[in-house]
Amino acid sequence: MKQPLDSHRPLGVLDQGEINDVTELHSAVIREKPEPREGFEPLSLWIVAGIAVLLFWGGSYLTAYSGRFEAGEFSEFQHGRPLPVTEGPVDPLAALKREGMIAYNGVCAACHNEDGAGKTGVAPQLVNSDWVNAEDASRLVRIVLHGLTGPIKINATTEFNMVGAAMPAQYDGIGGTDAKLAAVLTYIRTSWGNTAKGVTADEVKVIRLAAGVRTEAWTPVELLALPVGGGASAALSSDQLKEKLKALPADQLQSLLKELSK
Amino acid sequence: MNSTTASKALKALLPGDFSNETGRRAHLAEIDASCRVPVLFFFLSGLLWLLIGTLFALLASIKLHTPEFLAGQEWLTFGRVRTVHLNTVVYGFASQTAIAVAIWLMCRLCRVPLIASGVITVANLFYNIGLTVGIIGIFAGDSTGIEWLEIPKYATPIIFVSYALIAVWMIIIFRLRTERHLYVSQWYLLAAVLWFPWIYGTAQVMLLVEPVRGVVQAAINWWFAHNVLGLWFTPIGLAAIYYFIPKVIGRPIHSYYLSVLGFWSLALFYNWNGMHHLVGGPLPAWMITVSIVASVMMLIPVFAVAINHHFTLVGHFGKLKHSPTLRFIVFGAVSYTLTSLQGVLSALRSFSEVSHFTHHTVAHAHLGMYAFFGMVMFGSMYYILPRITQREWPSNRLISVHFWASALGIILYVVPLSLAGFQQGRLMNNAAVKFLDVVQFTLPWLQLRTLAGCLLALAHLAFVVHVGWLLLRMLEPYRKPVLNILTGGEIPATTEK
Amino acid sequence: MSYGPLLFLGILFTLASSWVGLVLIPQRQLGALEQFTDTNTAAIYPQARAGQAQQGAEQYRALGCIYCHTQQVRPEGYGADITRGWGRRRTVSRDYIHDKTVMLGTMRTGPDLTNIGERQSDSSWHFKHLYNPQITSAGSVMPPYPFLFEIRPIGPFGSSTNALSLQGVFAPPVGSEVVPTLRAKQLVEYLRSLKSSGDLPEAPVKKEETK
Repeated sequence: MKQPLDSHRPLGVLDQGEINDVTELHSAVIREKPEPREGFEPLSLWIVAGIAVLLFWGGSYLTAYSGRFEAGEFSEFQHGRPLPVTEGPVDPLAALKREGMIAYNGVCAACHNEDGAGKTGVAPQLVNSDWVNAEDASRLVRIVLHGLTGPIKINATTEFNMVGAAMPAQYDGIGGTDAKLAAVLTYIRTSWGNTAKGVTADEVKVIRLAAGVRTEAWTPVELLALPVGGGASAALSSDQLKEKLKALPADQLQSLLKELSK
Repeated sequence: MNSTTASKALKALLPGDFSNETGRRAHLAEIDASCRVPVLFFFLSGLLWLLIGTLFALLASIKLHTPEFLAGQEWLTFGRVRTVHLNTVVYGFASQTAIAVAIWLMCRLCRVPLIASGVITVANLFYNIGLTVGIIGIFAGDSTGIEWLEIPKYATPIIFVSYALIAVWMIIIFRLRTERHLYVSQWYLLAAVLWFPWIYGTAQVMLLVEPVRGVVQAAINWWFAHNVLGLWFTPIGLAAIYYFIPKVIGRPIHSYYLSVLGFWSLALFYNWNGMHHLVGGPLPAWMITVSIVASVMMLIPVFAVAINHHFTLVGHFGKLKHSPTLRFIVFGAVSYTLTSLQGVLSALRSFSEVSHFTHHTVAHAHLGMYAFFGMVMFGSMYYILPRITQREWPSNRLISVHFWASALGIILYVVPLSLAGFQQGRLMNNAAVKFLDVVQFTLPWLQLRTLAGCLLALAHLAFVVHVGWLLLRMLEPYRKPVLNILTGGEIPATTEK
Repeated sequence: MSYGPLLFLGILFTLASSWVGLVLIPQRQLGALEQFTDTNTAAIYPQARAGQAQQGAEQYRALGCIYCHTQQVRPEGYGADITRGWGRRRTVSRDYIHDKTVMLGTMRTGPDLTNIGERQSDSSWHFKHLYNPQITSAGSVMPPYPFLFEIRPIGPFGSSTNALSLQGVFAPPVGSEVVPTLRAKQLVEYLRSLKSSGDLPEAPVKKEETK
């Protein structure tokens, strides 16, 4: 083997390659294979056929799912996605519960948990609770309509304290309709082991109208003081209801009547 | 000055006789030497950013399964650490090594030494200043909030000017070429340097300088972000693969026609892919559909390239054992095929319904950016660094550590996370499963990802130590290599016709 | 291929095609969308954000919330976005016309936030959740954001009305209280402003069968 080529050069100086014997210095380049070239194998017919198939598919897909290239068409199915066809008779309770679940998961679950177990210091449980499973659902309707504040006793034994905020009114939050509220309560009362009766939109409507323009949240004490059996249809005769409606400001009366006529 | 007179003038300046192989080799060596400083600068700053990017990758990965980890410091919160990771590896490591490889390849293939290489070195300096300012900006909370374009708008112009300068220089080199035939790698390189400033400029003007209104932002965002991969990294990665496979094994590329087909179909379809990141999103159906079709059409260039590379390589797999360059490059080429197929699948509406918004996409991104592009860059560096430093790699063992740690690391990253991500998507699409249960399901897989990340970090450390060792050898006088680890030291018997 | 100009033009024209197709045409189609006014109810949608909520959007951007939370709801029957209650309808282009930076997001490490203002309107929940997500969502992988809060001694007039009511392991040392900083308030205002449930002709909210 040869001696280092430029051993005369002092150590520690960056070698800039100023060496006369190029062949020795660039041994890495010298031993390289030649620069790449191209071969000229012809294209396989299979590839050409494959490309033709792909282009045909692409054209068809583009025509079928482009919503006429309109800015306001967001569904690739021009007339809306076909809804899945359900086989056999539809179970009305299951449909109601599904609606309820959507609203519950979206709004209520943040505090009450997706399995209704509640969260310490945030919101009480909905599973295995006498408030939820009561024969009469009117108190639940009121809680969702107007909110709830203050300590609450569950199953007569567990005292639950909402720390900080109370439960806000959630009627608008879950969708702002009686049917939605009924669906949510039905979902809560029939899920996770709860076996109470479902709630109908009509029941909700009666209680909502009876409550009028209440803005403040309920307290558990207040709710317990209301007569069992609803305190709505039972507590208010039609005359009383009329009286109550008359006492309302005109614009609110208008909207209530509009609501009633639906 | 037209290119013929220029090339004549250059030829007159250059030593060597072009009529024989030795003369051509000496010319190559001359070209390598002309690239030395700027290419070395880009490689070294790229590797420094790789180390920084790896550190923040690990922090982000740990934070995703242990949220309290370093949570007290605002600048170390997940949303910033992750962003820093992405921008350091994409714009620091990947782009800078891509520029280095592109410059070296362009000069070699055009048979022109790099003229006024100081300009590229200055561009490197500005690039790194811009990037450093940008990264500090992200830590300080100035991220633009636009994915893949987070670097604040006071830093991007500096980076853009550096890119533009490099692009201009590459085009000058291309114009001065003395080799009349354009090899396939040159097509990709020229395309990449023209495409990138265009998409980067458009994105900066329409998203940062004068932001457009509403979801058009999202459209431009993903047009840009996908094109960073498709029109910048992919062409340079493919250029390197197209160069190094035939170079190392010493046989021509299988089919010129496949090369042409692969290049033009990529050019035609890749830039229409972006909206498949928004399937189900608030864009008109036609935009999504167009991108899905273009994504499926990507099967054409992907298969053209894969077939071309496979038939070039077939019968020479034994060389993988001896050439670190070939080993990394082939790993990258295989990953390119895999990541492209996964990409086509993910673009379909039915698959995207499950895989969108999950770790499946994260795994896919790493398969593309690391297993394909990163590995190809490593392979290129193993070839280029000895030539521009005129020193041999000191340690066979460190090369093995680098290869196996990065290969196993990225496999351990991508495979489990792709599958777990898909399952995560299935659970998420079942409203009966509580969301927190979906989160809990991903935890062990995220921990495994941290482990894979540690392997990758080990690989990077081994490589950086090795490069440092190689550079230390520049301080010593030149010695002819004792052991030639690259090709067994044989001087090729065949000469180029 | 050895003809440079052809290559050059091909490279330019291919990218120009998608630049026109995916940048210019969308800008023409969607760049000037206006608010929609319902002629029956005179309701205007979407409403612009109040000042504090707009500042909160900047906090959302700066903290990188986008990397774990999306702000887009996919259509009914496509994924479980609607069934999980993340929105009442799919989101469309018009929902985003007031966003300075449109932060659709691509990852759901955490749930979608398109409609979080309607799903969780209670600020105190949001404050607790930001201070430490484990208080409200045990098992979450969301990082806590203690730097958005100030722990300070309770003043002579008792604890602040803003103070977080925290219990157990999350409670601050006795005699001190945790109060949200201005940035936390901005961020929560932004979150509470995230509502996209307005009825739009291109994306109607599903009507109830019975009222």
